[in-house]
Amino acid sequence: MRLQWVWKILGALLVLYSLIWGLFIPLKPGIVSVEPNRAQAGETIELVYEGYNVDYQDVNERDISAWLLMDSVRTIAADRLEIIGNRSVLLTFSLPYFRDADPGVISTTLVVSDSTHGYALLPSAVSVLKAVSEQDSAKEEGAFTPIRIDYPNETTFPFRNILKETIRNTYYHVPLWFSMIILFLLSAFYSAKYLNTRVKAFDIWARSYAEIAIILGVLGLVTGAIWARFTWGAFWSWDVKQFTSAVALLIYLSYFILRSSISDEDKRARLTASYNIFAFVLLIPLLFIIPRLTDSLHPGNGGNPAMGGEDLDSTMRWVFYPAVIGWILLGLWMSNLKARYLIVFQNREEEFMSD
Amino acid sequence: MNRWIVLWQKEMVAQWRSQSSLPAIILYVLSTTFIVFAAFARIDERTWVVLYWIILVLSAAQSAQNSFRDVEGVSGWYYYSVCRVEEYFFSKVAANFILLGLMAVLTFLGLSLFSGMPIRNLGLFVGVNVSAWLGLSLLFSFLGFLNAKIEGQQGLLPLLSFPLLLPILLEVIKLSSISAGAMTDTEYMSDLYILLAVDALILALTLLLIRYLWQS
Repeated sequence: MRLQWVWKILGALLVLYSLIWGLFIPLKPGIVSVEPNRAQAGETIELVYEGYNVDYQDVNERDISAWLLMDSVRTIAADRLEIIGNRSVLLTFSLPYFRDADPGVISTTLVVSDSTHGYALLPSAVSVLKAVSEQDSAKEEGAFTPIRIDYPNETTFPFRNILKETIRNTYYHVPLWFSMIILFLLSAFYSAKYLNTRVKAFDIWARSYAEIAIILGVLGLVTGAIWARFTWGAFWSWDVKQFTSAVALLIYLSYFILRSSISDEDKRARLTASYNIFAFVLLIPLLFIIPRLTDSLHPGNGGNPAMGGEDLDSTMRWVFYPAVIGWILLGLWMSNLKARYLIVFQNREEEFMSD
Repeated sequence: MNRWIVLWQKEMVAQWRSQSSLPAIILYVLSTTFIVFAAFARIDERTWVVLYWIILVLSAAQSAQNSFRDVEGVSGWYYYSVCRVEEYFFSKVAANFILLGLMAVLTFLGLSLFSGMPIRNLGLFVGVNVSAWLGLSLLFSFLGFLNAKIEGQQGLLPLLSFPLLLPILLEVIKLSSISAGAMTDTEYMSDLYILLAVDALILALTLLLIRYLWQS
């Protein structure tokens, strides 16, 4: 097989791989809600928790265990567990009294684990208000049992309360934008090459890269809007990242309007190449500097951390990186096809004119 | 350098003598401030700042479009034969810069007279203005030059320039809102540096690309 086919097939396979695994690998079990979420130290509380991606129908109550974590040492095991629904369990905890040095409120993490589904946890699940015992508090130390969690048997993606299933969008939204930026970069590069050499084909390459990049950019914007509907509450909220991304697409639309309004071929190639380079360089502060300094909900901007850490665990990396490479290769292939089609078309036209 | 100054002087004289460009711009600025006054009477600081920049940007686009009328045709060939493109282009930039300053002062006076003067930190406002005039005159001159080269349709300048204006405009509106007290931000120096960096970026790009626009 010739090399020029290898990368194209690889790109298509990687995109296919990311589509299949990105959609079919299940999420880890998670905790959707806990009621009540306030308690007083020293009292016995009953918590109802609702799980995500769990099914307790065939699970024995004895196989489930649950803890409330006050800190790394003070971990309180549930005294009693009662399955009250397919996805919900009633937990009974006897909370210990606080020590004198403790703050007024400790927010505890709930951990639920069973051998079938693996573990789930919810940070800041229950806020416990301070109360100090009149009696000897040393007695309470015995109430703590170290936690022991089960890991899921199958490959899973992390569960995030604000993301839930939309965490899969990481494999589509993010690679689409990466691919778009690479194609815009190549478009500007071919424009520069055109200005240096005046070979007509380079102008066609620059145009093809920009066209495919716009398509990927629109897809990136749409997937971003769908994600924003779920996590931020609205498809479009004039977040600075949405705003500057839309403007980036407007800039390239004006590039195509400029193309279509000049009839002389050489002049069109020269002027649009200059505009393309000018526009691409001005995109850098627009897309990468200004959003970082403005308040934004988008990860990586306005003081928010970028994706990483627990939002992108090793299972996700196995899908995310192939997806990035796959979409870049697919974008290159599409632009390649478009450019070759245009070049053939132009050659035919010239032959026709000369006959 | 000498040729550059001569070209610049010629440009200023041409703007001054022209029946349409300078009076038209003054008329535009004054009538817009009248309209703002008639529509809003009193406006808050933020609106004042935004209106100020919108009036300024629109008139800057208009004047940049006018100033490159002589790039095509006989006069274009004349300039092509007597001077380098950088001299020609930067004489226009300098003229546009001064014109933009004039328009800014007029807009400022007009808006202050009719709708109040909200600017508290005048030093910051002047600093922002000068760096914005620099960026705007460079950007509009470059795209005005490009626009003048398109035969037939010459109304493309707003379409080509407004999306590209955004990095400058976002910073400028933020910084002038701070200077008007409509926003509080103690670390505005970093925004000012970004504005200057964008100016420097546009300057470098125009220096690099301008010669490709010139030849026909």
